[in-house]
Amino acid sequence: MTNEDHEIAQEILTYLVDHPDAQDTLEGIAEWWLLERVIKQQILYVEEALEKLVAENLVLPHSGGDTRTRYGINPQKRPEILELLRQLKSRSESSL
Amino acid sequence: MKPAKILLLDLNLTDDLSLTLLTIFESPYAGSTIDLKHHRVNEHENVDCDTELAGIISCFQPDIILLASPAGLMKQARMLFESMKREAVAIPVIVIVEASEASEVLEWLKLGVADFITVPLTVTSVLPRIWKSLERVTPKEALTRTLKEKLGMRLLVGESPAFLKEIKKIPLMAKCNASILILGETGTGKELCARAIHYLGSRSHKPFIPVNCGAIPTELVENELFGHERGAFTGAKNSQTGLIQEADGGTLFLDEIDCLPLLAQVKLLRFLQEKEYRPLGSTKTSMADVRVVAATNSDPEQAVRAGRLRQDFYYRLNVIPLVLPPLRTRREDILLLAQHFLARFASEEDKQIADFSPAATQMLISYDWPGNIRELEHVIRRAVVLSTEAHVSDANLDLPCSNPLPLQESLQGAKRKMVAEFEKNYIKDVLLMYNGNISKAAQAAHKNRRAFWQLIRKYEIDAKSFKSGSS
Repeated sequence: MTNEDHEIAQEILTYLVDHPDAQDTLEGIAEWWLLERVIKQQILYVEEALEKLVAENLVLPHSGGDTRTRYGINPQKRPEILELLRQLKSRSESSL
Repeated sequence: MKPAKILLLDLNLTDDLSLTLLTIFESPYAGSTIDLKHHRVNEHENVDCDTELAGIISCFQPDIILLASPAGLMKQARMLFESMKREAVAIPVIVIVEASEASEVLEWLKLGVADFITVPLTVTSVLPRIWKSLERVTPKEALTRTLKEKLGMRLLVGESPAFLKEIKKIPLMAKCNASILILGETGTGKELCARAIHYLGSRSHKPFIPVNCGAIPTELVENELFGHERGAFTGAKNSQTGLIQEADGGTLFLDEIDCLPLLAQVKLLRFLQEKEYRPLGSTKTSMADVRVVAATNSDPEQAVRAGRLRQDFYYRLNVIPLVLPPLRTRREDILLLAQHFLARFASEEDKQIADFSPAATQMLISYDWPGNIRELEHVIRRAVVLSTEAHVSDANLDLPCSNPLPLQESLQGAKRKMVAEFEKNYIKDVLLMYNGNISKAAQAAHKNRRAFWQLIRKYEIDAKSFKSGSS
């Protein structure tokens, strides 16, 4: 198996562990199971990134009356954020 | 299961409904305590979520609201539901209706009800819907579902009004538990739509079992669907689970439903009504919670007349129909689909092919596609394999000559056709955007109303069909 095969196999198995009653043909697995895994993974990455940004005080959490949290920029950190983005951009350009 | 509180808002004049519900909720199938509160709603002209009702909801704090209305008071029932929405009543509402007219059902789902039940109320029609509505969804699960719907619906490629009108029903159909009948010629995407209905609904993590009824030998159909006990027939050394049991909790997709033998249709009808079936050779009935989505590429009413499809079975399946248009009636989607397949197959074959030549485009749009999208997919796949250039040429397209194009067409002629096609599609798009309102559509197109109306007549477009609520 290639690395990509391993990754896809892992996603399929993870889906089945989460949803042991699931069954479908190749088309359903390729179209829907993997889509859901990608979405869940993406939500996880966004959650982790937000936690880091809040910890570094670059992003501020705002709790609403319905207990959901909204996220916005910390305006006082704007110059620092711009500098950080500039550094990240030049780092990615130099690695190309 | 934890106890549940259900509020019945009843526009009916008799107490039969609340008594029937009490019987159902006190049955052993209910599984847990259900506290039912019955509130009769007076059939005022302007039914509203008034102070008394708001107080009841606030004090009782129901988990689910059942809204029951006789056929003659549907308008009042809808007004009541809309006023509850305005008052930010976030409790799931299940509407109880007398007859399941497809358009009525879809209107309720569009308004935002959680589900619907038709009378007479039975254990099997009420309890699964109650349990489904009681499931709590975390914010992350809700976000996953929303994204899944947005991204998943992109699998259904098309922008023509006829196609979009049907596809818009899919998220609504996914929300409820009713049987669906999908009609469409071969290759129009019936299984794709059935799968979307499954994966956008609450059964998405349960089995999706597709079955081509036409591919199963007649004498084996009942065994495949219902299973058998050991010794049920010669050679039955072990018991076997049928597809209905395999699909328990999920969706059973029955394609070519008119190919089912009549006896199997009778048994399946009983299952649809009672959620009960009997495996071959068994003396006991079994139960399964399965949503049935059926499909056929023939005219079901013709099949009923010909005796191939039982009328009662057809009516039971056809609670909400989905009618997929053939590709030749949505020519504006041919290039879109062709480009979708081109991108996919070019990537798979690792070829840099980005486009179609003008002649190839012409061929694709003009061909009638009797095999619909499946045929288009195969033609594009073959073309990508055969192509050695940066675009697919007409020589790469292996299309039968059933409706051959003129081999030589002048630039003027070809341009005229493309402009006409563009104009027609533009008119349709703008009418769709403005809900069939010709004045607004003309204004948006920067044309005076008379000129716009002349174009509608020139292309024989039925402007009324773009008004919402039209069939």
